[in-house]
Amino acid sequence: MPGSWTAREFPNLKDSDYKITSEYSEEYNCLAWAVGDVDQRWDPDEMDQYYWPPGVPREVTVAAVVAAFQTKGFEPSPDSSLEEGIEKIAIYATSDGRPTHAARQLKNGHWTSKLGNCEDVEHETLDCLTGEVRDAQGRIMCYGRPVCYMRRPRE
Amino acid sequence: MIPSIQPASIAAADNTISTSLYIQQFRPFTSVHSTDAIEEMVSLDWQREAIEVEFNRLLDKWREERSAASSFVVVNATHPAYQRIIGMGPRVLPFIVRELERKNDHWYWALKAISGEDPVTPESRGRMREMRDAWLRWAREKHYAR
Repeated sequence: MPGSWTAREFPNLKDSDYKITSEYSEEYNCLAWAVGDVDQRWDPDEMDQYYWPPGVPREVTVAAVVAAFQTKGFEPSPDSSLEEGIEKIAIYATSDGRPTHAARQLKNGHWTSKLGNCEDVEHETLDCLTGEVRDAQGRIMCYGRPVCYMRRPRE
Repeated sequence: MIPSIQPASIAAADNTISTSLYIQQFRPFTSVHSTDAIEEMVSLDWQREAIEVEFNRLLDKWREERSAASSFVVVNATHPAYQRIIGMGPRVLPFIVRELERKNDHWYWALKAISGEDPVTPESRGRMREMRDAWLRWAREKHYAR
């Protein structure tokens, strides 16, 4: 079943790669979903309109996203392998270093992602959400690839 | 009471709009008798319509081209069409508010950038419904919305 995203945003995503696990929602985004928060959008927007953990720089950088997740007990992890009792997050970024997305590992080794304003999906691999296609303005519209991982004890 | 006469309703057959015709129809319904004053009112009405047309054009372009999958608002708020809407200034605020009344969407960057105000409390940041309520309350206070 196709989601409400556009195919251009996920050039490597095939129908067999995922299943939709929620309704479309703008109430939360991928960063919030990664830490289990479905009440608010996490976004370091410069206009200071969205939630961002106090004390963490409001900047769209991987370092700022890592610092935001650290406020929820996550620490850097060397890889994305499945470990008993450990919850992991993968942070995606484009080749120019801009963070784009975060996915959370499930107990079965699959990953769960909130795709922007669209649905939540469960996907088997991190690779299926990768890609780097530019729009008419030359902006990268895809998630790029996973550039770092974080971990915390699973509750 | 001034009736709602839309310029388009008295457009000539060749689709041009006649100021004199508009004034002729408008004058009986107003206590303003100065032709200059009426012309200014008519001009403002036309400006409003022109702004609405341009806003709707940019809105369509933004909705068509923006990223649905992006989680960072900056990606879509820096889209050229969204930036053009911000560049239209305070005159576009009633139309942004109208869109926000219809559907919750990421208008908060534009509203804050244009107005320089921020009715969203720290506790409501990121909570889309509360953000919408705060901005619509602000819009009513500023007479941008009913």
